[in-house]
Amino acid sequence: MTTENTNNSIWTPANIITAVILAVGLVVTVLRFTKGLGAVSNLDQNNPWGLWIGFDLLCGVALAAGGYTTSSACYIFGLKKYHSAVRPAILTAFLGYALVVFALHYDVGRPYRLVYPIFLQPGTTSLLYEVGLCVFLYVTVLAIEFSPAMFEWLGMKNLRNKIHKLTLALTVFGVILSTLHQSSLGALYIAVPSKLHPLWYSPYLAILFFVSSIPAGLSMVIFEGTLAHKPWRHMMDKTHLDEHDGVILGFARGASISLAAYFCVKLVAMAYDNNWAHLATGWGAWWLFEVLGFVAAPSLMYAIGSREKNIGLIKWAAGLTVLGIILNRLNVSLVAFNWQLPASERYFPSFLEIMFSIFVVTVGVTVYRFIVSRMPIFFEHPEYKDAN
Amino acid sequence: MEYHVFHDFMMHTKSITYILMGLFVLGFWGLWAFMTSRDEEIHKFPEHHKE
Repeated sequence: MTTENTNNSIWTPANIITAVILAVGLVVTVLRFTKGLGAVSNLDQNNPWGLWIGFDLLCGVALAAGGYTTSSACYIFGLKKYHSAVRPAILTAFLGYALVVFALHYDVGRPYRLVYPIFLQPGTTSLLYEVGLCVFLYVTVLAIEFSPAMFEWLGMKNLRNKIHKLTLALTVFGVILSTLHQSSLGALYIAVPSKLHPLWYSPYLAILFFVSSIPAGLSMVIFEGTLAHKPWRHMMDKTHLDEHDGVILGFARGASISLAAYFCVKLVAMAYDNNWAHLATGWGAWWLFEVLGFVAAPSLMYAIGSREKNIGLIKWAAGLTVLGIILNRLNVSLVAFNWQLPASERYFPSFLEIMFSIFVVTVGVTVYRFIVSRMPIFFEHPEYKDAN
Repeated sequence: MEYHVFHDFMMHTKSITYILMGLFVLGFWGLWAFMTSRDEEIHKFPEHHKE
């Protein structure tokens, strides 16, 4: 285990691709803030929310749920065997939420007015206000939860020890805030029953978004752990490597049960609105593809993988679940939204919108690489064996 | 199916929902039993799983 960078050349293929994407992102940034939304996006009066909300915000928030699921498993339910997964999960969640706020600036515009809805003109009857307040508070909580790793790296012992004592309180606060805004993001779409296809519209949208965030978070921890295992294996200590399989098997069980619960709520929502007839249409085939292929199938794969201790199968199920959550959020916000409009008036993201979303993900990966290569994320700092 | 009053609609959809709920309870029991069956074997016969 070493924190030294053994590769002296910065012109690796990965770095060159990263540099190109970041350069395109800077071009989009300049265009967006000098020429306006119309210069870079296909948004219009029918489709005021596009890819930046559907992918960067809805998917970003859902996939960042690993932070509250992992920390609550470890600190609230007392499952200390998942301790080594907490810091990577908190880091992913912190970066995920920070990028949600970052991307939201591009969609909303005028970043210097970001303080208005929280401090100057709070619209306390609006769901958007509730989402904004929760995300603002949760980003702060995640930053504090993540800070001990940074302070250990910087050698600021006193500050690190003081914040470490807040761990349980921060975890409880984080779970409350996550429950509130994960569900509120779904509740936003309850306001558009005439625009969203009946197979995706439901009075239970808030519950559906919250319940689906649990397997999304658990799967993201497995998925991210799988991706990180090879390039940063030299940064992982013996405890992290020894607990790795146990974390995957335990989280697989949780993900299987929570995906099954999500599948059940989906069917209840369907039965309650009596939408069975829509299943015989093309939209029904697309709905079945999403629900059977990316909810029921990974739930069974997780169950089989957990029973047979088949780590490979569990990793495939995690990838499928992550894809399924992205598909669901895009279906609700883009594909099944305005489904009754003629094709000429439907929304499809512009090239620059897609490039911006790739830019946001690349920024996240770049910052993640910087942090895990330096700070004690995959290992316990030798001077702080009580690390959270 | 034709509904004359809202009560008919609710009667129909709620009946199906309650049947589904019963099936889900059985389904969860089955899923949990399937996932944990090997664990129980380990608890029943710990001597077979000693390293």
